[in-house]
Amino acid sequence: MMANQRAVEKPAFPFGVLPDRPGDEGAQDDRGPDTINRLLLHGARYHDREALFLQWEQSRKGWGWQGHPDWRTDRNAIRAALVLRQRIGMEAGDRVVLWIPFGMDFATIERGVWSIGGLSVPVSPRWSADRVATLLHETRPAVLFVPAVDSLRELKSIGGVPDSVRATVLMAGEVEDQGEEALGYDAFMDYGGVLDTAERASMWRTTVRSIPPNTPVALEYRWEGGLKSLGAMSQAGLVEAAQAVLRLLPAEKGGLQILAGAEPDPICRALLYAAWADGLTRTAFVPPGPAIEHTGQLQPRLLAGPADIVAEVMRKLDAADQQSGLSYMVCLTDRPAGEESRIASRRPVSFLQSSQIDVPLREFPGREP
Amino acid sequence: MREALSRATRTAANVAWNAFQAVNTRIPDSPSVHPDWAPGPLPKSYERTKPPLGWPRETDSLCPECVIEVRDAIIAGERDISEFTEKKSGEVKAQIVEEDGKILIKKHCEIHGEFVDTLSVDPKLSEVLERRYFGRDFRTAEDEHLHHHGSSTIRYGRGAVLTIDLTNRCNMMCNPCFMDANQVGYVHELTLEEIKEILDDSISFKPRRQMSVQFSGGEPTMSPHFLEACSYAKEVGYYSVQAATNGLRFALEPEFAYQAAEAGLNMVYLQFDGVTNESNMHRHISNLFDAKWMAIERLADAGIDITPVTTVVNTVNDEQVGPLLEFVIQNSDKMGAISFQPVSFTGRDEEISDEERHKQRYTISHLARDLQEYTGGKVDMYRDWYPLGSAGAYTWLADHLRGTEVEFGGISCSCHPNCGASLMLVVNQHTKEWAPLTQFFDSEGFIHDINVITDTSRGKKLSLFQTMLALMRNIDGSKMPEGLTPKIFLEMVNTKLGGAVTGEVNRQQWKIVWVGGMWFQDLWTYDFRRTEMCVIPYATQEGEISFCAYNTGAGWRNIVENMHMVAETRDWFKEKGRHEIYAGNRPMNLAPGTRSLPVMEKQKGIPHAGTVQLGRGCSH
Repeated sequence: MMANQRAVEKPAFPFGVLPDRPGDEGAQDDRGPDTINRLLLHGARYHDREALFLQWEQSRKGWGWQGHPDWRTDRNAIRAALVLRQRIGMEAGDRVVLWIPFGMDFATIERGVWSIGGLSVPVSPRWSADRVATLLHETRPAVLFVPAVDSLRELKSIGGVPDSVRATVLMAGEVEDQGEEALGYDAFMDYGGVLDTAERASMWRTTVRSIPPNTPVALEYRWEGGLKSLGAMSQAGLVEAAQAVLRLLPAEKGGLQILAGAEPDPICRALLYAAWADGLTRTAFVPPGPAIEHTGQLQPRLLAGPADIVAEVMRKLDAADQQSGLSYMVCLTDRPAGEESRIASRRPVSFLQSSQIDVPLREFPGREP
Repeated sequence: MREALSRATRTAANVAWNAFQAVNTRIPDSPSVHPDWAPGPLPKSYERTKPPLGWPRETDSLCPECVIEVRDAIIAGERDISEFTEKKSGEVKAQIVEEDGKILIKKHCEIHGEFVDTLSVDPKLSEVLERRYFGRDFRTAEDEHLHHHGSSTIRYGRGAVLTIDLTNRCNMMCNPCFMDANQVGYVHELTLEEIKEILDDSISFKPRRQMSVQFSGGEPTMSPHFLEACSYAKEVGYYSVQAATNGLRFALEPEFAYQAAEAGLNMVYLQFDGVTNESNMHRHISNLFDAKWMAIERLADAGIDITPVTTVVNTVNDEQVGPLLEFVIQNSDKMGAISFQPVSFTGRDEEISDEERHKQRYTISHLARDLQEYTGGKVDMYRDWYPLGSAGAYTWLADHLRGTEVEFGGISCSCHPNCGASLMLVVNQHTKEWAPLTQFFDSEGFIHDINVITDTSRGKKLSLFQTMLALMRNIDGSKMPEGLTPKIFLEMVNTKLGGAVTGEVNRQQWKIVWVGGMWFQDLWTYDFRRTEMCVIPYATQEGEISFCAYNTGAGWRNIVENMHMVAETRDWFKEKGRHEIYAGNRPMNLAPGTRSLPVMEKQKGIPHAGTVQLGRGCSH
């Protein structure tokens, strides 16, 4: 717990009606937060953890697991929302394709998109330009986030950027000659001026509260040799999914969940946003690569990811004798059978299949003419 | 019974103290500890230095006319910065004398003639304050990369509050403003990398300081890096992270106080000019006091300490000092201090006429006299006021007790006795019962005992033993307010020392409330003996500069900001947009809320709305 952070008595999830804090008057109704926007906004005053996200990064002390507290992610989400709406001109209902790694930046941008009534279209950074082009054609986004300048070049070379795209944001690499509508992520977040002011934050808050529960927030799709289906998840649907997660995996103060090699699919995002909203759980993002080597420094309560990566992390935890706190595993593909029996012999661990978490989708009306 | 018990305790403590010292003082002093953070062993009392004090005395000062001419020429590029860093441009000698029951500063410039101003209207108080001065802190070492400002260079001490201007933008339009926020035609705003570099640099030399950092401006919360700056300061080891703010953002944005608390903000210095909307009218927002209420509620709820800061101008708002003190006592559950800042004629106020300046001049002695009068003598100006620099004694004791194995020295406010003074109150946060601490505690006697303890330096256990005896023999329990006991008081002192005595900090119903008077200099009162031991340095892209040398004197603020401006204001607006400015005597649109803070019933002499000309800066 941070030095001057106050412990807050927190009712069980879902929050329901919490005691008003100064400036909170009228923010709640009897049902509690009914949209993901309201849920995250309300949770913003009841944090009780030293960090919301952990990432393997370099800092002034060298490489290590860097904690990113709630205030930073909240501020970045607000900034992303304000830049998208006020600088780029995005409107409610516009789509934003996130072809970027699943991590803290993904989460803050997606929250920013939702908070102004937009829809996110999450895409694995491992997808080829061809696939992405198909998806872009179907969803006609207003804004496109791409992992690096090479990806954008490739996409452009096959004519994969539809004319609906008003801005492209590169998460890494120089923008160079990618046109006026392209900007780097640092420039995207370098708002300065009026955006980071109380007035703009209040405006953002008003918008957040005004978005109804049935508003679609994300497009989910099935790809089997081609784009097979498109479905939309709503604000209320995501709250339901988060509630389902918390029923299955109750939050504990200081609990850590590892999302290892996770893709931005509905289950992972339900896990992520449930933890964001509960105010207690920390989430460590472990992408494939060097970070996995250092997972032995963590002591997770929950481990989620594809079977092969989960098994790899388990080996690291085992070697470091850090598996004792592990209570839950969520396997996004098949269970890691060998590991299961080994772990289960030492400690009861609940294995969940992704199908046990219900993420309600509805049919997406499809591409606008 | 209470009186008899108190007398018996004191007598026993005195006997034990004298018996111990009969042996202790006959044995040669042990060597002082030499912590890693310090440039040398902690000095004995006889090794500490003091600036020249008393009167008549001569000091180095400035000609109010010459220095402005030099400053303007440097900014215009007509003269070189070496006028200040290598030469003594604009400097004159000044005489500090007692005349007609006042302490005056007099100086003569061969070009511009005579200048006279008042330093004190009560020589007896000045004598008491100077007598109680504890002595300078260490002379700084290996600090040339930060302290290189000619006559204005800081030469002593570890500083107490490092001030960093994050931006010169502001969301108010006070007129005048000591830094002319929004009106200078350019934007000076630090990048996050610059902020980090400044914070790193400031703990790079010895004495390595466990100091506070105060983000200022402009309005610091308008910097996009405010939260990151708080977080980084905490991460690298600053003891207390503060912001000098008008509080508007905390009032307007419900989550902001909680985010700031999470990021590491410990305290705000809240611009606070009076206890009604009318007494804040000179700030040009018709419901400014309501906004302050809202900010106070949110800050307190988020666990951030609040210190109201009031600029006091004679004949303008001097009658607010009493009600403001009462306000803080009534809200002591939310506030632990109030800082009165007698006006300093800086910024555009440097153009003030002699007549107006003499009329509006307000000094520490005015403040002490006004509070004595308002409280009906409960605050005794000669008994209860101590120079800010006397607090250095308590730091010295804490450093001594902590020994060598600490990374930073304690916060040491060892400024010149003419820079400011304070009194301590003990306040019951529930009943609002209060009394000056020195009503029942002989602070001067205790400081004398601290010198004995630290001079003889007998190790931690024996020093702790002596400290307890010293506390007990200087407490007169019979004069304590109802409900306060010596035991509770000792726990409060331990808390104030950061747990140095017991290693633990206890929260009590009673708390110590600090009432400060911080008198920044202006061109007429300028004394280089003060700037060289400044404890509120401004950390800038051009090193650390004394508060007074930055805002007045040589006027380093104008020079640094011109050197490092990031954009012309019009270009900034074009690229980044215009930020909201609350002005024009219009109300702010505040979310509905209830006032849970007690409202003052008694209001003495609040200036009539529209007649107030207050506003010498943001009370930063």
